Amino acid sequence: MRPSEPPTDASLAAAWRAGDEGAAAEIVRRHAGAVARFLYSAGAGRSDVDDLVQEALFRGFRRLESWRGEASLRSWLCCIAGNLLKDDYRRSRGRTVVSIEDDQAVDQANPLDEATASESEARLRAGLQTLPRLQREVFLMRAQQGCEYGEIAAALGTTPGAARVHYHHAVKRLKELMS
Amino acid sequence: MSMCDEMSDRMPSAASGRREWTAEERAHLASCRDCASEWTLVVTASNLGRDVTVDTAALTPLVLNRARAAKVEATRQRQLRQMMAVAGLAIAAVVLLLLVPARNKAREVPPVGVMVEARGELQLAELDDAAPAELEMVLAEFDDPVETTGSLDDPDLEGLDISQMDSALRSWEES
Repeated sequence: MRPSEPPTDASLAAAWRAGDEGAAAEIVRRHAGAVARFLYSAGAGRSDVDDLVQEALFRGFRRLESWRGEASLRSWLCCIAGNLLKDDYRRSRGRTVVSIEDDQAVDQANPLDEATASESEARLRAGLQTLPRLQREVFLMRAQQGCEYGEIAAALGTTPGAARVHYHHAVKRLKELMS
Repeated sequence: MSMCDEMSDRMPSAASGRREWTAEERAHLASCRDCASEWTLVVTASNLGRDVTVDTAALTPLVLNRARAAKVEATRQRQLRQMMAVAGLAIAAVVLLLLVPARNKAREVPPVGVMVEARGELQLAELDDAAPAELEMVLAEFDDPVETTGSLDDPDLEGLDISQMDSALRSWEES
């Protein structure tokens, strides 16, 4: 590896296992934002996102030895976050409710565009809550995180073909809801 | 694979800015309503939660402290498990060392000579308290010739006459 190239997630994970806390800090810096967006999009309340991200990353570090590198570290962490959100949702018995109004705050600089985008995002977020969990997570990993079907399948414990089918079902359902 | 399928596969990377649409793809997006609505959906999804921020400076020490503590605890648990395993093996070895020889001793069958010798020792042990005179008597009995004791299998026929010997022979033949 050339010195100018940033270290890979695999090398950071190995460094953390060897006791390098700087490597762990870099993993947090790289992936915390993506995990937060994933959690919020999957239905976590804004006020819960920080705690859930912290818990997801902690669990990730605790189980980092089980990450084999077949899935990207980001999709693997998103999968842990998804499980965490499911547990949190069960504990709160569905307390997490997506409100369309919450996301319709209008930016004063571009009121019309922002309002339209915000409304679309709110509708999408609400629509995502109506999907089965696997469809929702596959859709977000693919459309939001830009993961390939292979790594989604590895993270979620399914096949690339099944991940593709889940994605297309999700797209079809969301198109209906958004139209 | 149809053009629509190919477009669908390329949408996430185009939405994240990792690739640009070609002129042909742009034309397809403009003419295909299905692809256009999917494209809108993917773009919206890729922007979803962009305003959700995480304070990594505050988050990192929290996560690392917990991870460090968990690592120490995991190491302690692993060492404890190893110690328990070693202790278990040691206990098992001691139990085996105690039980196996005792079991073998119980199963051990001494050679015939040893058994006879042991039996003799028991008989002699009964005579331990006997007086010398009594011991002499016992020894004298052991020393008596076998012939003098007589046997049913070896009757004394010397005192019989011819007819008595004939009747004795007949009775043997009949039996």
